[in-house]
Amino acid sequence: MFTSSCTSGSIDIWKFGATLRHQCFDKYIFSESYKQTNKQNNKRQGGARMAAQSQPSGSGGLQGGLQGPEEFTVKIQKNPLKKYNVMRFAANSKVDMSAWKEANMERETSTMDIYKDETMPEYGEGSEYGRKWREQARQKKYGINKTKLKLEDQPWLLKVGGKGGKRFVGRKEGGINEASSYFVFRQTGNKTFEACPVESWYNFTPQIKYKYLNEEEAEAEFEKRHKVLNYFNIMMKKRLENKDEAETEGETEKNVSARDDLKVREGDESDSDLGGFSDDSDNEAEGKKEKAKTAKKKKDTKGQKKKKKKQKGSDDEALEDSDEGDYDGREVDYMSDEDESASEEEVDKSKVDGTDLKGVDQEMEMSSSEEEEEGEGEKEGEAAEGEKTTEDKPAKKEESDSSSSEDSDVDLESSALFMQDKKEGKLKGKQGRSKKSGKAGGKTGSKGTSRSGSSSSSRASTPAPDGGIGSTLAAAAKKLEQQKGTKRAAEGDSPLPKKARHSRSHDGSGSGTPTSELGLTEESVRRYLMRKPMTAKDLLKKFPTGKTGLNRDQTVAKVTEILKKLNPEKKTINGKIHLWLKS
Amino acid sequence: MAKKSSDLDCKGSSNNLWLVKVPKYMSNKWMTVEDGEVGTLKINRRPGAPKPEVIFSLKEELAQKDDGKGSSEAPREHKFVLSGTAGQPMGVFSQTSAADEAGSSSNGALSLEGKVAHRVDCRPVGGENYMKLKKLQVLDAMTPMRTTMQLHRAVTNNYKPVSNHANNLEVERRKKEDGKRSRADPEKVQEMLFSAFEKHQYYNIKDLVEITKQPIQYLKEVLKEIATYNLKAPHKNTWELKPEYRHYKGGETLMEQS
Repeated sequence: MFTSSCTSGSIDIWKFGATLRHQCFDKYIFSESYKQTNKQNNKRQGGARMAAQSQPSGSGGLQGGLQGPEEFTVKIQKNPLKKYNVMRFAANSKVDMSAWKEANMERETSTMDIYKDETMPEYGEGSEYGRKWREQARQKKYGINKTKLKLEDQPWLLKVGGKGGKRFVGRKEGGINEASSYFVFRQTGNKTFEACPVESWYNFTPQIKYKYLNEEEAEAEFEKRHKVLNYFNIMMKKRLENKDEAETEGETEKNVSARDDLKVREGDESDSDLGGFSDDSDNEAEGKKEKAKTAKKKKDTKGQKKKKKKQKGSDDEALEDSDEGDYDGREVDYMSDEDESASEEEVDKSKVDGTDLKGVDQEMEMSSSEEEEEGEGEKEGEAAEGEKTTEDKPAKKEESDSSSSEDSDVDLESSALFMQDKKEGKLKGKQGRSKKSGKAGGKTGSKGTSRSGSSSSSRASTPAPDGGIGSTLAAAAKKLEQQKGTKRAAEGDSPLPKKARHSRSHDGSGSGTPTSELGLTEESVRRYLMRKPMTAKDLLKKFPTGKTGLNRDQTVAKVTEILKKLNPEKKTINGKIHLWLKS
Repeated sequence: MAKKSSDLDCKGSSNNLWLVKVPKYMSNKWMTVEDGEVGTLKINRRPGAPKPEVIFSLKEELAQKDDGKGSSEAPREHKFVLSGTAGQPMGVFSQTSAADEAGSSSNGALSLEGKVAHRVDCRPVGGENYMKLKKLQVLDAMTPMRTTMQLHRAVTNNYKPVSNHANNLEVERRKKEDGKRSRADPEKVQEMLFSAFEKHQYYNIKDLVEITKQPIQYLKEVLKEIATYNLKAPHKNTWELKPEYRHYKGGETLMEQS
């Protein structure tokens, strides 16, 4: 029946056959060689096995000198009703089956319940005529083939030791009897083994009760595996929150006081504002000018701040008072500028207080104070707005007045000066015409004049109104930066450390005797001992011979002398005597 | 304690058993025997070695016997290699089902037969017989599963286009025989409907037409008096009796009737 109709096909077959034969040949060779190796093995083990094989016939034999080999008959027990199954537990799971007294085992059928059809009565109430046939026809039409779950394939649920005992799930392992078979051998009675075929094999694992991650959750967790958390950052945030809560109370109080300040300075501020308006009187583009002005104004306030800071800590709020246009896009710059000064103040305070905080703490304080300031600033701005609107009206009048009279930049400058002066002299509304009288009035003005003067000069230095705002703004910003820088250099370096040092030296030296860092004096020893408890050895290390100019013996002698005088307390820490002075 | 079917009988939990892995040709031989001897085990406990040497020798007749699976003569000598359990607890349990319910869904009586003391490998001792067997096995494995065949007649498609299927003809013929459905007395129709609704609660209109053999229009008229039409999900597009006509009692009465 082999094809011969198609020649190419037959050739193929022939080839196939050839390869088959070839393979067969190989295999055979392999088996031959295997045989040889096997024989060699046999020779190696030869003696023992030969002896064993010769046992049944011989009595005693070579090996059986001590104990003869026992002989058992193996019987196959085939009971179709009794099926043997293997239960395997995880390696090293320490399951001791021989200790089991009570166990319960059943199939898990919960998964099968899902597959059950919803039941509907075949007859009577609730039944529908011909539903079954219709359903069958439907399934046939759509090619639905329901696979039935076999009970034999369901996992076993094993409970050992009643309630509160261990629970296992036994899952069937497939393909156990495919390539080879398993038999259970049991010794029964005398000289017989009973062999029973194993039907199936179940792997028992402890039932998992806790909730484990599903696929997506596990994936998400896995993503996190290399993420290094910045705990420093986290702690900072946490502390910040705490601080905020604590500070909200303090803030409200501060606000009240700030408002009071505002009232006191009201006249002052409004004056400067009005002056600003009158300056720009001849400008065509008012909006632009206003912006430029704010930049200038910052400089003004800078100048003022320096003075005011010395007067009061919370003064700078009052300075925020300005026009409507001021907050347009400027706010951040403005605030940050202030914040720095404020934070500096904070640092000042902290140092004076003696709470020498470091690192994060300091940063935190800064940031928290920043936030505080921000909040206050905004409130202040709102409060100030109301005032400004009232002030705006007279200012506009002035603009219209002055526009005709002024021509050149120089004039502008002078006029600005005059006008402000006049205002301070409480001559609102009519300044435009009577310049000279204003000038005189300005000279009489005390504090306000100097300030306004500086401000006006800075205003005058800005380019003509024709120049783009951008350039003016940039210039203003630059100046600001410079000012800031110089201020920092001036303030940051010298005053703060000085203060700190000052306070410390005051703390340390009650007597007021001059102290040198290096010299070995009673004062310096006292200082070290008060700072923290230290051993005598450590203390000596503080005074290296190279710096004090004394040799070792001398220093030792002097130190002991000083110690005797001071008579410090003695404490044993880690088995060493530490000396220290109570402040 | 009351005995439940799911209880595992732990009486034999202290039994020690061997779990023997046996080559397929051996098990085939063994399974041909009905409850009887298949061979002998010689256990040789040597004083020096930690484990005894176990040799299994197949019964002479069995070795010669053809198990119907190709391999005629099997090697007789086999070595049983005991290897312990390597710390892996294993047990054997049995399911015994009563004779009448063999193969049914119940699990049968469960009992723990014992724990596995040794996993045993049954290894053939290489010899002439074994090599012969292996050779046969290899050849057997190499015979191709599918071979080509020459057919004398071409295989053609059995299905040819038909203008009208026999089934359709049958239906048509029957329709003609029945003729047009004539309107019966409404009372009679009602009676038929009631008897139908006694058997089931819900009916499709098509089924009712089949049952009563009335024209659909007329049937609907009659139905409207005594039944309501369901428009919603569980029994959509079906007719059911109006509540005042209904008296289903669980289904017992209906069971009696049917």
